Amino acid sequence: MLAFRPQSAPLRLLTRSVSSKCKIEEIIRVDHAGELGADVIYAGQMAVLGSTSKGPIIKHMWDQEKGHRAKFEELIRKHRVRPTVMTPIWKVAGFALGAGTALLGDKAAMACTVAVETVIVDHYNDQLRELMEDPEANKELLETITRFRDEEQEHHDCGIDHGAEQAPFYKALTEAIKLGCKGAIAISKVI
Amino acid sequence: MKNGLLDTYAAWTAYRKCSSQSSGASQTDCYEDDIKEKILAASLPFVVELGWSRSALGAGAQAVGYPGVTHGLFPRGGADLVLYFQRTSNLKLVEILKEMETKQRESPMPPAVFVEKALQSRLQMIIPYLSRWPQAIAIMSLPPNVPNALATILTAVDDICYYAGDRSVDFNWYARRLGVAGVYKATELYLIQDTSPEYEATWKFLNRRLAEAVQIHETLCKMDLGSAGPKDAVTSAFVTARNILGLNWSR
Repeated sequence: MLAFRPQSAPLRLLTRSVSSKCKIEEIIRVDHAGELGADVIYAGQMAVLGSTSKGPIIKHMWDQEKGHRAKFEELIRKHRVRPTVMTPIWKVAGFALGAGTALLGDKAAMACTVAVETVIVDHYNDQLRELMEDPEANKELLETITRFRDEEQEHHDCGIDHGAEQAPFYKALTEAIKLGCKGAIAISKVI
Repeated sequence: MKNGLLDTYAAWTAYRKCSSQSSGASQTDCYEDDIKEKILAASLPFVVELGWSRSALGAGAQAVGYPGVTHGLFPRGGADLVLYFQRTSNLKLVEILKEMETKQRESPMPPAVFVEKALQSRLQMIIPYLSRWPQAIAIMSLPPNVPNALATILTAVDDICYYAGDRSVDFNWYARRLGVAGVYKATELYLIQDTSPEYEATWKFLNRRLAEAVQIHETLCKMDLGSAGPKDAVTSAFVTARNILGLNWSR
């Protein structure tokens, strides 16, 4: 992370365990932001599609995301991690994204799910690779992220099954959402 | 500006690691640091007489058996001494807060009272140096020292909020810490010109500022931003837009 490398002498004295602690804080902060975003995206979709035939499927995924968010909130409290300063903005943006795509139809909503979950799964995989450097110390985080990664993958597959690829402008839509998600991840890591 | 922020953040993170959540990791190569700590600790008694200055550092070095020129170990002079004082005071504060937290389990008190007591204990630590404190504030306001000054105060308010039971995971996390930091700084400025016996006026001032902060917080909570209201507004806007566009698909 940018802020830590080119620093003055006393900081360089800090040993590896501290720098990996910073890393863990960064991971928890960005994952919490991500799950918060996922939670409000599904909330947005439910607000529009809640009473349609896709309602129960979205509801099921939403409930899982709520569980993920609760878990990361617990980790934030446990490790005394600073939450990202962008929370209010992510809430509004996530809801707008969820409701906006749902408004384009249930297939577009599924395309949105597919795009978001693709980025999240990649992102979790990257983190897992980093955490594998010290599997013993990061055991809880590793298990949590592995489980969540698998569930996000299910959401992704579920989205494909429900006709995400038949959404209008599927390619452009998913690419745009993916880009947005990656930007949000980069921002949440730092602030 | 951006560098300043990054410096503050990095310094703050470093303090948090080394102080309140002592990891005890960076023990290598600490011989020189030990000497520095010893000299700094020995210099504090000279502060009232000599100020936050190189002379105080020199006198401190002599007191523990080093030549007076050893103050050359501290390129920033007085600022290093102030910083040392703030850092050790923050460590003491954490001890006090831990004690208060265990006591609180037996006889719960509202967070505002907890914060008031915590701020009071922290401010009492500067009373022995009160005659020289304006100088310390001035030194820490110099641009090169600002990141470290902010880092120390952020560490203190972060610890206070944490032990007062703040477990928020959203923007409140920032609002509370900034609020407490503001109250702390205002009270500190009041304290340096307070002439009342036992600094009573300062503690009353602190009480009033916290009461105001609590009131603001309650008002914001009552307004209930960010929950049902906006959601309803957005939903109804969507329904309206959908009807206007004729997208009223069958359910």
